[in-house]
Amino acid sequence: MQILEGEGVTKYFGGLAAVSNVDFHVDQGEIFGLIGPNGAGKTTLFNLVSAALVLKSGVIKFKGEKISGLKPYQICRKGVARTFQSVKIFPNMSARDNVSLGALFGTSKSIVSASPKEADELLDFVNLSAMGMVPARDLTLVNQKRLEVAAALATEPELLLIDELMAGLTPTETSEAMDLVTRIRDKGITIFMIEHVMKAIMGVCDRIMVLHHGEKIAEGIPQEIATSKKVIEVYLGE
Amino acid sequence: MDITRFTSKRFFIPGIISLVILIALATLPLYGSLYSVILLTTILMFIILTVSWVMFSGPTGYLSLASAAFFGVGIYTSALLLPNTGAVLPLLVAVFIGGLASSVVALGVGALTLRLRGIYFAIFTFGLVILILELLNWWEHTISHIRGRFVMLVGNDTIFYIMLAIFVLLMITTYLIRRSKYGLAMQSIGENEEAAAHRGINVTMVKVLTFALSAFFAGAAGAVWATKLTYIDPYVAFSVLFSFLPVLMAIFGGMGQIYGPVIGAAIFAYLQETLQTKFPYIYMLIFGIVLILAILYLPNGLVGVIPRLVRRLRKGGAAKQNANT
Repeated sequence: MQILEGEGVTKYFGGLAAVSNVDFHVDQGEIFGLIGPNGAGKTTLFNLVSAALVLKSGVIKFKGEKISGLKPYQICRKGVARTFQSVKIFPNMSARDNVSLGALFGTSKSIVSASPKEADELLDFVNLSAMGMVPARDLTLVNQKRLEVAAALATEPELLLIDELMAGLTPTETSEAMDLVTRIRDKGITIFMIEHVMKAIMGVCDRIMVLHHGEKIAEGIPQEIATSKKVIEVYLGE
Repeated sequence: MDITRFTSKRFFIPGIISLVILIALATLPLYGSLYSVILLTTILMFIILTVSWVMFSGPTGYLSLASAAFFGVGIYTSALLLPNTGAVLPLLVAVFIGGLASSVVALGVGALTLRLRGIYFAIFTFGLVILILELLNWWEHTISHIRGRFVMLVGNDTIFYIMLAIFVLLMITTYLIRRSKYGLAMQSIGENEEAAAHRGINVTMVKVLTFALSAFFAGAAGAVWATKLTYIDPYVAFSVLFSFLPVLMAIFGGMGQIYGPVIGAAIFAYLQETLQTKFPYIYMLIFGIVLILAILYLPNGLVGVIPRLVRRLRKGGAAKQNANT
């Protein structure tokens, strides 16, 4: 079943087509990767799905229901959570409050007060169990990224958009992050991720889509992408 | 970890102190002089303006300069409902409607302008004060041909008690919001609005509703204040000082704690009143110096001093060399 579909998704910045007539779909339960050179329109596509930006044309559907045109908070409550390329957390709140906030506002239920136990479980899930009371600004980059994932998970998503989780991490941290992505999928959450670290994306993804200058140039299983002539040309030059 | 003792101590002592202060204030007209009642009414009015400003601008970081507009709308509403020729409505109802009118203005303005960020929002809200002021001026000059309005006389004690009631209501509201999930939501908007939106917070609604709620208290205070002024005109009602003073008072007191703006506004307003009577010629000079010193040496406001003192006392002689870190 397709959990997320996009048809003719297009976005212009001035005269430049940042995302141009892209059709894509994400199947339920898979890890779907999105790669492409810098400026290819990957993050723009994420911004369109999460409604940080408004579509120029095309339609985006979540579980068969049109979500393009909704506000970011509505999309979050429908079950699509995201993280950001440059970590977006609440620096002066404790790690636990960062997570609780997602649980309080991001789910489809209406909750009056946060459950510290749930927040702690999620912090534990991303290996931050000892950091609950630490202000988010005092965490290291890798821990801030994990915290952002935990906060996104607190909104009880069915689909999680992860934007460059592994950028700036050490090899050990990268393999931990890959493990985290797999464990999130094992919880039954579908993952749509942007990544530059090839080893990571080839290792965890079920399918991969390649964008170049806002257009989709390839889509397929990792082996197909790794051997695609067009993709190699884009990445390495002719 | 003895969490229960920690929390009960944390709520018990401030609770007792608040209660004692409240009782002292409530019984003031019985033992205090007329002057002290009038002075405290003024101080309470400034506290209400400051705390209601902090309610919205503190956590969200949106610098609103609309306090004077909300205050003035309250003043004019009350002048319309309580003219000196005889009250149209009971005093308390007029005060409530004054607050409501300000809320409605805030709802409209908020829905239109809370997309603006930073300096643009500050300028727009300031412009709102001038706009209403000039609009009323024009109305009184060319349409109604009546300059200003006389407001019904109300006893000083009554004005004091209504002001006190608004203050108590405001403090309870502020406390409940800070403890609720909406307090957390507002803080998240101030820290990273985009992230807040993507965590499922309807940022527009939270901002507009809080803005309107904070305006209610400023408007209600204005409605009572009008009965103290007895004569009002647009320049009295929409003085821009009422936009800037609450901001200064909040910074002076410190916004980190719930009682910071209260203490800031109380001391600030008291200083203003007493310096003005004792040193009428150089009071602005003294006042300015006090403000500059406070901002230079107390970056977290007056209440920022308390945790520093506590820390210093706790460390005591054991680690004196670390005390100044």
